Amino acid sequence: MSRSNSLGIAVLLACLLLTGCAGELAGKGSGPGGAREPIELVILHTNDNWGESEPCG
Amino acid sequence: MQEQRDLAKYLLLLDTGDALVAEQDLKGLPPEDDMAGWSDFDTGDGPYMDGNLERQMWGEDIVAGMNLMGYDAMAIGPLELGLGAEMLRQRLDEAEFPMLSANVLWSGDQTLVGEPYTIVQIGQYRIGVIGLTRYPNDELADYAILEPKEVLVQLVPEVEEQVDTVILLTNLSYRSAMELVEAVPGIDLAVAALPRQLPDRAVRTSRTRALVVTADQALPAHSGRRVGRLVVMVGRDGALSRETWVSVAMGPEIADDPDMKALLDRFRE
Repeated sequence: MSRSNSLGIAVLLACLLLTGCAGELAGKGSGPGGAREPIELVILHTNDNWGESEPCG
Repeated sequence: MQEQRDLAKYLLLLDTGDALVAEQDLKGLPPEDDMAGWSDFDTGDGPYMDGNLERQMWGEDIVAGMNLMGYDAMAIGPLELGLGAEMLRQRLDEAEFPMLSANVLWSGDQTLVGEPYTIVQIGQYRIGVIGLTRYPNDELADYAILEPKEVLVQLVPEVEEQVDTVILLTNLSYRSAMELVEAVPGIDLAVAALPRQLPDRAVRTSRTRALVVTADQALPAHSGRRVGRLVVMVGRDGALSRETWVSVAMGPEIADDPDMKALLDRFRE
């Protein structure tokens, strides 16, 4: 394999790696974008607090 | 919980903390039979099922119940810190969900007690959940508490880089949380705590347009009787819209979950 071919493969691999990483590191609002549809998310949340002292009615 | 999971394609289950109780006053608790309806939905009711059980377990049963229900995250609260370092470390080891706090350090080595945030993959969206702990009423020697706003200002950009949507999960009061997310941009939703502030809807801050909710008008012997249920659209950019929110009462009409009942029975033995 010639030196130029090796260099080309290295550049290609680097590009592929960078592309892959870019997907992982994509920040807020910069995900797959048009490829994904909005979703309906249900968030159930609980909390407990014993810091108050009112007795049970 | 199982019913809710069956109904919702995408679901997050969060707890704002103060769920693991070191000691309690059992006076005035209703008979155990009166608690049966809601006791197996929210593990926060565990202490009320049998105070002696809770006193002995120091929150072990609560963590086991939360594991069973598949909680996605819990914020560490002052009552968790009140367990003391040794007991809290045990609970942290047992929890199969991240116990979050970005602003509490072990006083010894100055490392974070919990994880500062977690990232949950929901479909094609990454949801970042940041945990913040409010100041305990009394100084606790095992910990150093950092100022919540200073921590949040530093942390939000780091989390934003990795996610589509940012949630603040905290046992700070509803009003404190609202002030915080109004002052610190980049947070889409704050899930807050503390009683006597229960709004009747999800509220948006005027400047940053962050959503703020709190679950429960929780009081001693009343905790865990309500669950906040927020339904919201996550847009392509991760922004939240079309929110509807209700505080759902846990009552006897909700059947006991057999697995949860078995788990609690094991701890009673």
